[in-house]
Amino acid sequence: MAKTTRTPPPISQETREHLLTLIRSTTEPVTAAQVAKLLTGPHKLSEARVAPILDEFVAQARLKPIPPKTAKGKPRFWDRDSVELGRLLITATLEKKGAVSQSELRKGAKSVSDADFLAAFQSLIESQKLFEHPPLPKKKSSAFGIQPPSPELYLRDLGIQLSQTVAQLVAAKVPAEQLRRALVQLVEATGVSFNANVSRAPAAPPEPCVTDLVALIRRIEPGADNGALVASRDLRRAANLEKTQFDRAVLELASQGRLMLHRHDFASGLSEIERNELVTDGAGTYYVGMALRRGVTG
Amino acid sequence: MNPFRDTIVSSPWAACVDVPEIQSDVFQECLQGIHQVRTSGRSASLLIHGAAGAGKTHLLSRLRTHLTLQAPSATDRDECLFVWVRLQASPRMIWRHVRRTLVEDWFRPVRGQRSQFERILFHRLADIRVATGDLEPWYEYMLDTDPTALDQLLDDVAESLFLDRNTTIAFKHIAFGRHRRDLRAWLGGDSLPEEALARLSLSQDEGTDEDREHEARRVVLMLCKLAGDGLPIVLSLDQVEALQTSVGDRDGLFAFGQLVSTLHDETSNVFVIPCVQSSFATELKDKSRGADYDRMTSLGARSLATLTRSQAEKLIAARLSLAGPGFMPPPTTDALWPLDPTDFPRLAAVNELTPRRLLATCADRFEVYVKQASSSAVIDVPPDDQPATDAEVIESSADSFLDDEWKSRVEQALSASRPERTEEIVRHGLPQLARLLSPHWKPVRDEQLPDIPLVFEEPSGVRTGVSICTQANMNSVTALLKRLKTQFTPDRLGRLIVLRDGRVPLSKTAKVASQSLEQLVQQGAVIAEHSAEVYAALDALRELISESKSGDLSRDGQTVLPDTVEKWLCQHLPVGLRDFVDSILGKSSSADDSLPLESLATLLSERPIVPLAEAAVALNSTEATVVALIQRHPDRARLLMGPPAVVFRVDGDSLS
Repeated sequence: MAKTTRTPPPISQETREHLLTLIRSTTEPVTAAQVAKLLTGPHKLSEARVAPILDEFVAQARLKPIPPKTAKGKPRFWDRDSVELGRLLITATLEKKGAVSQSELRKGAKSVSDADFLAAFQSLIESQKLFEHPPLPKKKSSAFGIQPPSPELYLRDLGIQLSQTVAQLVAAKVPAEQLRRALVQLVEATGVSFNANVSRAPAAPPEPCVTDLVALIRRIEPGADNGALVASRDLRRAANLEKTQFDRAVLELASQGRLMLHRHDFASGLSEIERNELVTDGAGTYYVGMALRRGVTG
Repeated sequence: MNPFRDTIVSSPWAACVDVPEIQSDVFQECLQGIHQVRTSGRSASLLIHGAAGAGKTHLLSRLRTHLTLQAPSATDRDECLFVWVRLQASPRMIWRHVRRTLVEDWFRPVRGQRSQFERILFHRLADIRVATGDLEPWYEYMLDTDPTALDQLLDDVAESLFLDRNTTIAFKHIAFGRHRRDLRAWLGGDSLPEEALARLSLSQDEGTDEDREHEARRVVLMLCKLAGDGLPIVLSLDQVEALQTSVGDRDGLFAFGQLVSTLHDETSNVFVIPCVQSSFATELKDKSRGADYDRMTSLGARSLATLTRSQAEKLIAARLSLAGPGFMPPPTTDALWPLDPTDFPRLAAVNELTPRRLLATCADRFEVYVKQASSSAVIDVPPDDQPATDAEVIESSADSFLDDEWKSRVEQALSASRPERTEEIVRHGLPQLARLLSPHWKPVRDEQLPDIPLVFEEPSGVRTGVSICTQANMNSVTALLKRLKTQFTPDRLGRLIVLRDGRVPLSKTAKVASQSLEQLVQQGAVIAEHSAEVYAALDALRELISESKSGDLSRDGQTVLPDTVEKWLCQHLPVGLRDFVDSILGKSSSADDSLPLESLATLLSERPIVPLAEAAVALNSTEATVVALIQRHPDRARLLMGPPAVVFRVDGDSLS
């Protein structure tokens, strides 16, 4: 009796799409064998039947071929490319080990090529998901972490040295005021500012308010009802309106007598960015700020 | 006379026409602030913002007038002291500037009243005197009949206040009316000759620049303490913008913040009123330390309101009352006359009408009316609907205004010129002058050179230091010169200029000072002596720039902008000031060897007439440098004042 060969049923379009969805949901590339294991129920397929479908998806650019993990490993497939895989591996290493050197990161991503690793590395730096930590004293190379470096580690030695110097100056009867001023100037000369905005920044930005700028003025400046000035810049940022819309709204309130405008006499001396933060009537007049006319309600 | 023409209140000490309804709310807040300081025994500060021409100085003038005594000093009335400081000063001399101004204001005679120092005296004596009755007659009586007992009372005052020896003696000199001129100079921080100090029985240890600043701070705090809690001091700080010698300069605002914080925290009777232009408000907030800004606004921040129609009517009426009996207004019931019916709606369209803008328009309308009234000719009213922009109008007519302002300010500065003020003038004015003429020289700070307050650095890194040696006290001069010898080392400075003032020569007996000066010259230092005229011109320069920055320079009601002033200065600066800069920064500064005549000649061969601004760009130089070059070579090129200023070629062809 002749042996009959059963022709496997054709793979349905639904199974193909299911397979694709499965691969898209994985957190790393998968081999054909891994895909076959993931398929269950009516979509169950053998590795041999999955492989040609994966090749087909690659040919259609719906999946990307990813090199094997090891020299003896099997090809892998993913909906993302090797650079994305590199980013994933770098991030995984950082989450596991904390800030490490670039060579450590490379070790953790050895399954991607050098070029893809570098591309992934650069893109993480540029997107500020990876931060270089300058070498600490007595270290030769930089490290890389998912957060900017902690300043305390870098300033510790300086702090010890500064404390000693300050103690010497205090002992030498340097007036406290003079010392404080010199220290503040020293720090500010580095570009770190002690300015008012830093210390007085609101805990949370005011919510955008399209219609009620007067209420927003009161929220920004508690003394607004007593005539305190509110800078156009601050109100604009808080209002979060489109520029011309904001300017029109302010001018309208002013013409209604609810606001008093303060003209900037020297707007031409400002940079383009600074000037754009002022309110303008579009005819060359700029207003640096405004105050509520006393008696304004609502 | 046009009663609307005068739109600037130059000082709160000057009388001015007042309409109490205008800015009445902020005025009341000031009075409340004084009351709070008096009752709480704690100093406080109220920051005032205002657009240019909104009336900041006018408000201070009203406050000063309100606080001026209308009757003999008495402790049963709430009295106050007043100080107005225009911050036209180097940030590193801010305490010395406040000290000098405070002392001058407290010695200032006001309408036949006692000086403020004398009021302090009366209040202090009233605290401890044993007699009853009117204070001033009692004081006069004590002075005439029992000076010993009066002296003893003053000792008691000093003891109760823990006054130091110098302050106690100075206080007694005030009480007995002794050595008034020298005392005023000593209290103001002027260097005095040893003989004068001996007469006063006072000492003066000038020390380094830091020491002197620290001493000024100490004296200001001591004088505040002397005034006492029963006599609050209104300390108005005007023209804060003038502390910045360049755009983005942080030193000025840092020093200002520290000044306010110290006054706020270390005195108990000072009501500080910093006044700034609205356009400076953001910068002040951004660049001040948070803690300092908190103190500046411990009683809040207030902005000066724009004019309502009713206020405008009252202001116009008040000004018209000054027109004189010969003036006949037209028969009209319009309270806004001389404005046209369309003027007010236009000026106040978006609620930004300041008194200065109102008065400027009134002045124009008034002038037209007077001309029409005095002749039968019909005069066209100048179209005023919408000038191109304020800046353009000002640019086109500012030259002659600035020319007049310059002459009058130089004249005033010269008449008020004293060698004691030379250091303040140079330290505030020279960086601004250098920025105009030699922008490539950058002012830098070197804490290792405490007696060389001005250091300029070339792009090559070469540094020139300037020390000002104008003290009248020869011991101080000697000590300074000795310190300079050690500070002037090649690793820190390429050149050292020691500025002297010809009005304060070294005395014949100051042999060590002379020797030190000679040794400094041997070390390579340059001793530069300039005339009072040069310092007066520098004083006028810094004043003009400061006032334009603060919105206090106005022509016909329009604010004259800082860049207009600086452009004008570049083009009209007297040779004496250019030479002054040359003597300090070298001939290459304003003369700028980097710009050879040939470059200009080449440019003019291609374009015989070229706007100055374009010439500067084409030559990769500054307008000031191009102007300086033209001034040195009038046979090759000339300048035609604009605007816009143009450079043109002078040669046989063009002349023909």
